[in-house]
Amino acid sequence: MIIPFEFEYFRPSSIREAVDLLSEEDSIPIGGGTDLVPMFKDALIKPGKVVSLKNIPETHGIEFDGERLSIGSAVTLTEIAENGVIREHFNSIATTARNVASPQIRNLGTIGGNLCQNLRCPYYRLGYPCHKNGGKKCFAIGGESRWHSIFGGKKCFAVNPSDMATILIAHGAVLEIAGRNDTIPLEELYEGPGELSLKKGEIITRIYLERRENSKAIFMKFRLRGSIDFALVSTGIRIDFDGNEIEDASIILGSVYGTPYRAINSEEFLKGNTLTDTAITKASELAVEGAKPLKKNKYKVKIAKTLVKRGLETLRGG
Amino acid sequence: MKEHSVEIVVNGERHHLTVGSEMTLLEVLRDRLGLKGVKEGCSKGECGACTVLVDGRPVNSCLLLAVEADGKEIITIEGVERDGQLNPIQEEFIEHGAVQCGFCTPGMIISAKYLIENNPDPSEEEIREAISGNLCRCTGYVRIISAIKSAVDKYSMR
Repeated sequence: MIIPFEFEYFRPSSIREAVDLLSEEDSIPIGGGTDLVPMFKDALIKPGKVVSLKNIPETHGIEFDGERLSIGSAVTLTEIAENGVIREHFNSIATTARNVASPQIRNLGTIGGNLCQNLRCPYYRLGYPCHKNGGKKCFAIGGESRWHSIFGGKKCFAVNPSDMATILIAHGAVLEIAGRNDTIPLEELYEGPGELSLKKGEIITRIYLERRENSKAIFMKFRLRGSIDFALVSTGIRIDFDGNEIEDASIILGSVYGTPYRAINSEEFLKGNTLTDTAITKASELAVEGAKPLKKNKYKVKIAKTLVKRGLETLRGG
Repeated sequence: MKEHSVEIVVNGERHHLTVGSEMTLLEVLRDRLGLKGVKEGCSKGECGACTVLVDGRPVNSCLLLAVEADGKEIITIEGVERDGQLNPIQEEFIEHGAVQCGFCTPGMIISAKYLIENNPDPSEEEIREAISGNLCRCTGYVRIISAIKSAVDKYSMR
């Protein structure tokens, strides 16, 4: 299968050059290409200019100064999964990376690309005239909705499929964006299904997060096949403890809504509590409070609840 | 630029090529260099039939733009044997009957080669993870896994 159109390809070696190219009309950034190249093949996206972000020094390297972890946006998922510092201090992040796709895709795919990846809704990917393809309806409503949002939506009910987003948001990650003075919380990158807050010409250069004392984190993923499968539901959970008491909690669900979904009621309930059986059960129920599943995806509500429960149980135990 | 001059080393041989921006490494390997052992399955990165080593790491050649392979060293299934002598993994695939239709075999062997050469004593779990990006629709994987286990032993005796 070939890419059925021509485009210009650029491989800038500086941020400045990349920003200039990406400010031009009809241009898009590319990382490892594992999401974009198949979309090019299906002509779902037909850019005139493709700008690689992999030859820019600022987008590479993993650094840790004992307090702050810094990951370049062009770092591959394999590099994250295998990095000694991440495995030692942020093992939940290495585990998440290892659970994305396949070894071959992790060797190409970048963290920046993973965070910015497009929707996996089959109607969208198969070119149905849905909202995302310029049409006027969501075919999942009244159609096959087993993979879709369980927390409602506006026009499009596709979910954000990023595993990495859940654990990184749970860790309070922030993004450095070329041309902006301040970092932004990763959570603010996501505005809706397939919609990012990046403006034309803006590129993510690095991801930062702080090490926390007395903190534990875990990533859980439910998928039908044990390998190379997107999550039906995933969750990134981080709990900060003060003794046995929970000082702060972050519970982010993936693949359940158009953006990564913060289970805020569950988080609020856990603060000041301890991880008793009762509290864990209550927190897992609150995580899916207000769920509005579609016709064929009620099962995802149960999975989400169970993942949160098992995640909290594991954090209590280990 | 729509066309690019690239230099790639494939199975030890250096090639200077002009490629279009939209060409994948898979197209270059199969259609320009005639390396038909690199299979095109799904063309979307899901099946692993097109797996090759790029700078020592397995990747889906269907997902990599050829221009991005510039300056890289590539090993395909054709480069796995040495001087007409099959690699132990190839020998064990034959010995164990791990090949049925054969379409996934080149990619499987490339993934197994990366594993064994980077982890001389892999567990079964690690073998399964190493080939988790390679789909086989015939064998049920049992014979593939036993072939890789035997190849691990052969490698350790070399």
